[in-house]
Amino acid sequence: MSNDSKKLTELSRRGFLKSTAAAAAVGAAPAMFVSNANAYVNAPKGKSVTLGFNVPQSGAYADEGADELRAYKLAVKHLNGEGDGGLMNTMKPMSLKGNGILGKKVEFATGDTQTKSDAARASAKRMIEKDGAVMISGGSSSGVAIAVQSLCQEAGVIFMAGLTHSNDTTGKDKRKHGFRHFFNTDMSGSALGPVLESEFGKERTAYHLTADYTWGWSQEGSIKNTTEGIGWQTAKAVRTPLGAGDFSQYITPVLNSGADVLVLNHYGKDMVNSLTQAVQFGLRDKNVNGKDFQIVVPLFSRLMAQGAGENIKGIYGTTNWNWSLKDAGSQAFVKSFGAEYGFPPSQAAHTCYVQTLLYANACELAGTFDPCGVIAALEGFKFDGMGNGPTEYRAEDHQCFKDVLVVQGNDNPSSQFDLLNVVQEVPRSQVEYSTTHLGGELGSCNNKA
Amino acid sequence: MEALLLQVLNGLDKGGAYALIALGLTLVFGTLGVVNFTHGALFMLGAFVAVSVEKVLTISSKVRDESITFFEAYKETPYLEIWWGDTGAAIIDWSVPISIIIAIPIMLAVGIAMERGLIKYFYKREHADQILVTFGLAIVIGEIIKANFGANAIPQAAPEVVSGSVDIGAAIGLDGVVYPWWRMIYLAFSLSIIGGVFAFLHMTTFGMVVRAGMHDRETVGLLGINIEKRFTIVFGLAAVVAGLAGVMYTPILPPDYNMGMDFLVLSFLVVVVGGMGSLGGAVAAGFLLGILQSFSSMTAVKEIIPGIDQVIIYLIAVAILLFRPRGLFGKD
Repeated sequence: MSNDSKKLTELSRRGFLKSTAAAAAVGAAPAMFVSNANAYVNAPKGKSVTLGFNVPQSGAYADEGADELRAYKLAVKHLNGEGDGGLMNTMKPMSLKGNGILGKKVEFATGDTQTKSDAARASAKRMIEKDGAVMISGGSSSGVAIAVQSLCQEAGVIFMAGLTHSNDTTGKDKRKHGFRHFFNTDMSGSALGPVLESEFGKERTAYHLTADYTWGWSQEGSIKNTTEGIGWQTAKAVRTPLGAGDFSQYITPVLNSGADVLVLNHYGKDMVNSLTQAVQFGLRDKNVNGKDFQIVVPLFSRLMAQGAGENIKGIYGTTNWNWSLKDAGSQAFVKSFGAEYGFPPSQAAHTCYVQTLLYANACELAGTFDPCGVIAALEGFKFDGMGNGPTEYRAEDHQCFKDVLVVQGNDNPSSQFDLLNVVQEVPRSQVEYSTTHLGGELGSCNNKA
Repeated sequence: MEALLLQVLNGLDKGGAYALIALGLTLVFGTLGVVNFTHGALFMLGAFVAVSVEKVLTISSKVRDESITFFEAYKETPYLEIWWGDTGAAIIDWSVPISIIIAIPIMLAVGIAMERGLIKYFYKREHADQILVTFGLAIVIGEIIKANFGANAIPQAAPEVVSGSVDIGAAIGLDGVVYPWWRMIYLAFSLSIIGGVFAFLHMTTFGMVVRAGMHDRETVGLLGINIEKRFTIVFGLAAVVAGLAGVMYTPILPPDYNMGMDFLVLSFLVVVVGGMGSLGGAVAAGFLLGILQSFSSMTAVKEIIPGIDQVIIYLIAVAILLFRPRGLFGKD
């Protein structure tokens, strides 16, 4: 045997021993380490895939959370080929087949956010770690959405945001794994501006009452930019504690401030209470600077409007979607939801339903549940037929760009659900901003288990 | 000057609500020695008596909106309006004041049932046990209301004639001192109820026995007086006071199932600052903290100490308890 051939034999033997040792080590290792090396978090192994729906089931937004959950259940039903198919009949382009997602039956776990960031993170974590959720969706608060979005990024699962309106969700706090279909405060401001100008003129003085947390700050900044842009003065912007209940001590200074418009940057219970009390203090009956005093509520919700009763009539605001829209997508969703539950869906229900279908469709497009593949399929995805007209998931910030609705409290409702009139459908071009406008960094995809 | 006057009014109005709830809490603690965390829920229950009365008064004829086919939507006209026209509309308009009359027997029955059915078994237990059981009961009551009425707030309107504001400034030569009629009525109502409770305790034999029992329960019992029965009635009375405060507050704050919890913590603070068991202390501390809270939210104050409006009550409570550990009117 030559030296060369001897060396080769020795190398081969050494290589063989190394390979055997490596194979033995792999064989002896727990299965999870093997999957860590080869797969992504919660890769579905059986015949089903689990989605995690994280909504407020207790606390002030429990009704909104219940409506979100109804929408998720309907979406799951439609994805699994049951029911009338809802928006799967109108969505374009669509890769869904009505056989679950990638042939796997869709199942779901639920969590209660309690509209508290820590509780929401805990329930999302439980659904990821214990229930094996491959995607988390839901929420009725920007504080919660930002906290859960960040958790999903770290955990390596997709977050499809529910109702969250702060710029920060897809601005300074945006994440590669987070996607938002709902609009934001900048879009509300841009959509409302021209309507406020045409209805109330250019010479106005606004007084802001603002909920003291991320959404309130974002809303105040956006609407101030808009109103100051059309020539309005800002008398004062006052922060109010979240859940203040009685706002009288914040409303009385408005009376003698010289302002002729009150902007309520409040949502939910705060909006109901501050608006009710502002009307009681006679603000809507006042005449200041020779003009009728006006109140503006930049973000409207039909569910919340019910709480304000008569006081909401005639007041302007914006909304992401309303059941009264007549396009084929909206009609299909209202028909499907109405038949299932006996009443119309809220804007929160709509955005949650749409988000679930969009996620499922992206998995089909990507041919995998791997978050990196799903992210690539969602980025820049253009679609129509979902109730908001032509829409795009902008790749640079994971924000959906679409038309925005300016609405007004209905003076003469034809039914108990007919609370908002759609005044204008403001086109996407009017509410779109540059990709760098809101700052933040998406970061990178995290598919390491 | 105008701003100061408005904040005084705000404080009195807010203080009225605190004082009413704290008064009931103090009555129960002073007589039965029970720390009753259900008291906020009783305030909320009162508010939902008003909601229920309004729902009954507005039972409606429903005309279906035929343009909506996907679910059933109706235009509703209350039967009272159909049958009695303007008179029916006026009855509905006055649903909150009407609710006061209905709330009295309901809240009295709820209070007595609560005391006989649960609270009496905890008289001799630790305060911690009392707090746990009453807090648990408050959660149960809240969840029952949520299951039946939902989590969203349900608006209640004040009667049309008092739904606007009154220009107080015009009477005293000041501009822009406008205040809602209903809040003025609430303040007057609070003072009347407080006055009524004090009169009841000081000017009736029943009240005298109760006060004697608060002072020395054992001796009163030894005199052959059934003090326990009287204390049960006092618990019912405290429930009525909390319930009426809730009914009257509905036009100011659309009620939801959690409104009692929002008031409970502040009201306990009021009781502690006033002095546990001191009725006068509860009332005085209620108004004091209400006024301080209003003043601290003035922009001029917040510019000097940002966020002071959110912590002022707690700061004052800490300061008072440091110097007077038994509260403003507590006895050493």
